[in-house]
Amino acid sequence: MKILVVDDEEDMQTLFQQRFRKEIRDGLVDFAFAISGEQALEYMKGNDHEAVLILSDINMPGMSGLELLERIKQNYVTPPPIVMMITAYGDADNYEQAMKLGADDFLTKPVDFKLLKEKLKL
Amino acid sequence: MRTSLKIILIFLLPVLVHSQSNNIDSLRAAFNNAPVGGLGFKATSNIYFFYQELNRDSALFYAEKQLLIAKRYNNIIGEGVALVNKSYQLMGLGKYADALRGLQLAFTIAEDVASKKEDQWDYFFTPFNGNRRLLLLSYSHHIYALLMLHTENLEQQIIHFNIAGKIGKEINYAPRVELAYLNLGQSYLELNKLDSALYYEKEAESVALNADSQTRLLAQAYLGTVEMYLGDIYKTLDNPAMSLVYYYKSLKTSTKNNNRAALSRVCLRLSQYHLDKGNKDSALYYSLKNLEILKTLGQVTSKETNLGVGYEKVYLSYKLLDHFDSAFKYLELALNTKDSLNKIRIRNLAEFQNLTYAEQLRLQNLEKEKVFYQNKIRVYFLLAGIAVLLLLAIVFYKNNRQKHKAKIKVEHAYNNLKATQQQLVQSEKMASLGELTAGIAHEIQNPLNFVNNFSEVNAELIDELQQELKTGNTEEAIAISNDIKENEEKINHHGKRADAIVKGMLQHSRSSGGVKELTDINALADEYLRLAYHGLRAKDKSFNATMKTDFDASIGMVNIIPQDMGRVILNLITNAFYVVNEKKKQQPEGYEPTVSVSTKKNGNKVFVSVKDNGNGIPQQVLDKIFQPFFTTKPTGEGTGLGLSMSYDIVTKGHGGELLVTTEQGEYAEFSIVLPI
Repeated sequence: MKILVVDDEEDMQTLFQQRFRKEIRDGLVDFAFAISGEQALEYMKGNDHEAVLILSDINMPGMSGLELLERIKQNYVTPPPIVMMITAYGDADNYEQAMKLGADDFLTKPVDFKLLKEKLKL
Repeated sequence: MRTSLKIILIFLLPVLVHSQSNNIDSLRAAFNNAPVGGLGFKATSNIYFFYQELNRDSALFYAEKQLLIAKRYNNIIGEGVALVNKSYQLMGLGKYADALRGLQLAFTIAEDVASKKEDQWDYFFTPFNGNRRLLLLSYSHHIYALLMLHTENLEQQIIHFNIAGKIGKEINYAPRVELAYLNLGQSYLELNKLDSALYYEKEAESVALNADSQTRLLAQAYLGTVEMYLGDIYKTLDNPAMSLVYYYKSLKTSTKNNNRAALSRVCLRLSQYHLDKGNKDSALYYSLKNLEILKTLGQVTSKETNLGVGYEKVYLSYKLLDHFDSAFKYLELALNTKDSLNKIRIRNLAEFQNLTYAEQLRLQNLEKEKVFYQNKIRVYFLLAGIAVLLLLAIVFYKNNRQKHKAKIKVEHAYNNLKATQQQLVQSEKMASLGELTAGIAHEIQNPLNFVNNFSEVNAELIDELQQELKTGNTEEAIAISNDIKENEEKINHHGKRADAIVKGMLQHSRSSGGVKELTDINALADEYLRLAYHGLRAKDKSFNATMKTDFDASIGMVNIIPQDMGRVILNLITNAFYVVNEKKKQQPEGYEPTVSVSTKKNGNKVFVSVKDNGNGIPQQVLDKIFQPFFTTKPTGEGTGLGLSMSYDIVTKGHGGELLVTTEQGEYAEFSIVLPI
């Protein structure tokens, strides 16, 4: 399973690789990273439908996570990738807006990786 | 002798009969054949004038006729003239009260400016084309003055003769002027003001002799009387010769004019003159002539001349002649007549006085009413004035109130606006508080995410490390331990990051720990400029920028919290250096990074400006730059608290303003405005 992680905090990449090092080692999951919404869209253009799951931060410089979500859900109709928002903004506004825009799930930072793995059925 | 001069009656008045050309038969014929209206009135007038100084009863009869005609034809001026004619005759007959009543009616007509019937009726003996109402008025005043003379009111007679003469002059009608002078001379004679008396009689004589052909006849009708008075004046001046000359002139003139009343009076004077001189025959002649005329004039009750006086002179003449029978007879007649005439005169005067008293009362009441009315009018005007003023006051008051209201409204609106603004600021603050919480969440949760997760990862890694060590797989163990170390560094880094954020927030929330002191703000700005520059140079060796300073030396010491204001200046300068450095990175060629710091004193304000020639601030960002945690710097490089903190220090801490001006691609300038 290809997972695209979008976050402006570069340490997130290390964190994900370490947290999923067993799964990566077992070949269950493969990660791609982008540090902005723009980069994420760029990646998706070049790797058509490769990523089945996108994990995105909301608060990023430039294109925000919610904008990215909107673009993905508009442009990639068949079949749309699963988009999960992971954000430090755990407030109701952000949650509702994300859901309205078609987010499939909503997680808050600090990330509970145990819960994430359950959701991913890994 | 002066007493005998006192009363003059009869003669004056307008037109006398000029008998030579009009005898009574032809006048009567004209009267009988006269058609109606103006000609009828004229015919009646002619007969009246014929009798005017001949027989008072007849004259009165024709005056009544005039009145009837004038009334029938609704000729108001004619009515007035008839009334005065009538009054004149009544006065001659001693009926002063009735005369006064008639005159009052005449005055009502003459004084009403509405009375100006422009007809061609001839009211008097000579044609007159001027203002007939004024002529009537002059005539009325004259006869009224004569009435005053008869009733021995010297003061009033002079006043009214004067008025009559003045009006006569105004309308340029010689007979009225001449008659007024005639009687004024007589009045002054009575006052023993002989110079004035002489002056007026000479004037009267001159006016009469110089009258034009139109009015000559009328003006000279009483010339005999003028001459008689001149004789009186010379007599008083102890000039009997001149006196006699004028008496004889008068005798001649009055005979020629057939002015019988005047003739009687001059005969009286001549008889007295001859009595005094002892000229017996002449005295008898003139006293008898006087008596004869008096008998034909009708009842005359004046003090100066009357039938009693006439009998007396005859008695004295006979006495002088030693004709005692005749003398006795006339003495008896004189006494009886004098007695009865005196009674009549006294009765007439009493009646007149009653009337004048009543009239005075009426006039007083009228005056009172007039005063009352005037007061009333005055009160009304006053009230109206007050009302107008009140109205104006109300208008002004309303106006003022409206202005005041408008002012209040404006003030209210302004206050509302201010309140709204404050609310906006407050809600902005609340929003920024919300943003702050969100910001806190984001800023803290992010490092916490790493701290928590990396420490968890490390715990797992340590387990794995132990496994590897147990199995003796040193290589793997070392790799794992390196990961652990790396993770540990990340934990430490993000822990410190969280710490910095919390410290920044604390700084932000702390309103002011420092104390205001008088500070050289130029030196402060200069110090922090260097601090910022060298700080950046220390971090980044490639960093370079031009610094410009322009300090206003007149500022002097300013009362500020130096460390707080220093932090603001440092923050602004650091930001400026940052943006020019970024721009230099984007376009290394031809761009000279420049930061200018200037101070300026303007009135009671001090400006501290930090200007950079970077890319400026985009409009959508401009609204947010003072919000906490807002930053355009990449994540981790800025806390987003610098400007919001600066804003709080300047506004809350120092009661100043922090302003921004910018042009995209050109510059941004932050100005601290401090009150002093």
